[in-house]
Amino acid sequence: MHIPDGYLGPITWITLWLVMIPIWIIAARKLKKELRTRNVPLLAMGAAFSFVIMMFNVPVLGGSTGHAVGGTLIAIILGPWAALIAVSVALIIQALFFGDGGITAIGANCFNMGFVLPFIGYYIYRLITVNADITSSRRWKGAGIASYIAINVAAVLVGIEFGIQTILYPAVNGKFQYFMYPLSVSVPTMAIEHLLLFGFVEAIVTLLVVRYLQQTDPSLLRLSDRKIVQDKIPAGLSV
Amino acid sequence: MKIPDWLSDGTTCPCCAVSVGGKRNFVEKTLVEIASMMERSIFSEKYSSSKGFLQSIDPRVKLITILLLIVTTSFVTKIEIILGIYVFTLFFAYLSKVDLFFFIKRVWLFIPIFSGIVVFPAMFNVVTPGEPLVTLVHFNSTVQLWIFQFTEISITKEGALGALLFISRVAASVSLIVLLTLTTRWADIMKSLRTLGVPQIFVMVLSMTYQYIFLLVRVVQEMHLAKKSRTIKTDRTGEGIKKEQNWVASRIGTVLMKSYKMSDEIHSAMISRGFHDEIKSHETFRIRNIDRIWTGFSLAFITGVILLNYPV
Repeated sequence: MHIPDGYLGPITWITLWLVMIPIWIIAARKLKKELRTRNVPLLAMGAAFSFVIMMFNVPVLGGSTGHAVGGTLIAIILGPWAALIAVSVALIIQALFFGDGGITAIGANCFNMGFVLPFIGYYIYRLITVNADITSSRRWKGAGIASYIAINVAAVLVGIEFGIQTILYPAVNGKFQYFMYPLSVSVPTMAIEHLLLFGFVEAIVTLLVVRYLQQTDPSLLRLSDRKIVQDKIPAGLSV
Repeated sequence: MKIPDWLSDGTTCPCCAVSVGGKRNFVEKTLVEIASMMERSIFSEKYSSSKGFLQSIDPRVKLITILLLIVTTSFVTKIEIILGIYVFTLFFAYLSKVDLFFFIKRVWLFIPIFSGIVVFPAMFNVVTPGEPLVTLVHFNSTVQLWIFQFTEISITKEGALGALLFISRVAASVSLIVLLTLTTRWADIMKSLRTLGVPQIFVMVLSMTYQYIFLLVRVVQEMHLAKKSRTIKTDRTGEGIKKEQNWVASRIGTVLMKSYKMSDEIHSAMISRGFHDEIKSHETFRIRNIDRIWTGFSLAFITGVILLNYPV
């Protein structure tokens, strides 16, 4: 789902940069207030984890493998704003040092995978798990459903961003300048791919990890609630 | 620091390269991917410390000019000019003492090949109608497939040129960023990001993340290696897959717990060393004449490219 440079025309990538900049600023302010000095190491480890999660190949049917994005999982643990920063940082490092995803497309990639994916995943998860006990099966079922929906929404968004290129930059002398397939091709392709394969990889990973955490370290699943409590402690008591 | 050749040599002894069933399973795939990632970053350090042209440019200047070049490439719509930018990157890779074969391989191995698969159908008249170059099949009647209608399948001139434009833009952009990261130490790139106005907190998180990625990747590698060395027979039945998926999930969960705990420890370590929510970085960069020349040259190059592409 990483969009490389050259797929999106300037109108699209500049717009998505302009959308992301205020969102990043809001996130940074929010986290600074909530976490104080804790934010730097916590976000860095969150980002490193988000990077590393993409290195885990998950076996799926027929000997094939796929990897998860993990946006929903990180949002469930650290909350959506921290997930936004963590995934964004991971994406920027991938673009800068590993050539995975474009530089001009950083705005677009962070919008799809860093903003839309964790926020949708997180709020669907919260909706399903209202009043659910920490060890309740509703937690892992909710995590699976939420991550499946979230990654598919993100994939459709990528499809739309690809598809509108033929409208924004129509063919000159018969050849297209940027992404060349219309919406009627790009959206179904992205959607089918994720509905049938990557969506399940994401859901399997998210629900199994949540279930594993329920059995081994349920306190991690309470973190995103606890942070609000922590915020109420007077500044002098918590460093 | 330069890594000696015998240390960066990736060939393993045949004794520890036994694979069960002949086909690579997910454990081996993961191990190979991690190894190639490590190798890539080791190579990066190798080139950033050699004494070439781009290595001598101030990192801030280099970062800004290369980012401007990438943005410019995105605006260019003529194939000749984009190919020109690509040749430009090859030339400066050569001047910077980067092995050209390695550079080309590094660039093309990733994105452009994937983009080639994406762009392949667009070469045909089914997607891009136009003047046929090679006709592969001719049908007697109009064929209706999904939303496409066609009477023949042929590669069109417009399609081929469009595909070439697309691929060369992707390749030129990737080449530019690879050129930057191959010739610059990551710590210098991080410091330079501050001069672009990226807030301190982002730069701090970025550079800390980069360091800990390697630690976590090592942890993941050890997990997979431990599993591989304990696996005698790979089970490919349905139940086996479920078991393997559970194993992967449990390892991801473990990495998560480890990294959360580690963030606590790092925080305590930072506080006990006097961290106050602010980091003072020592700017040691100095603009020299070679930086002024490079800036002038690249700005002239960018202006030339824009004027050639959009004549006034």
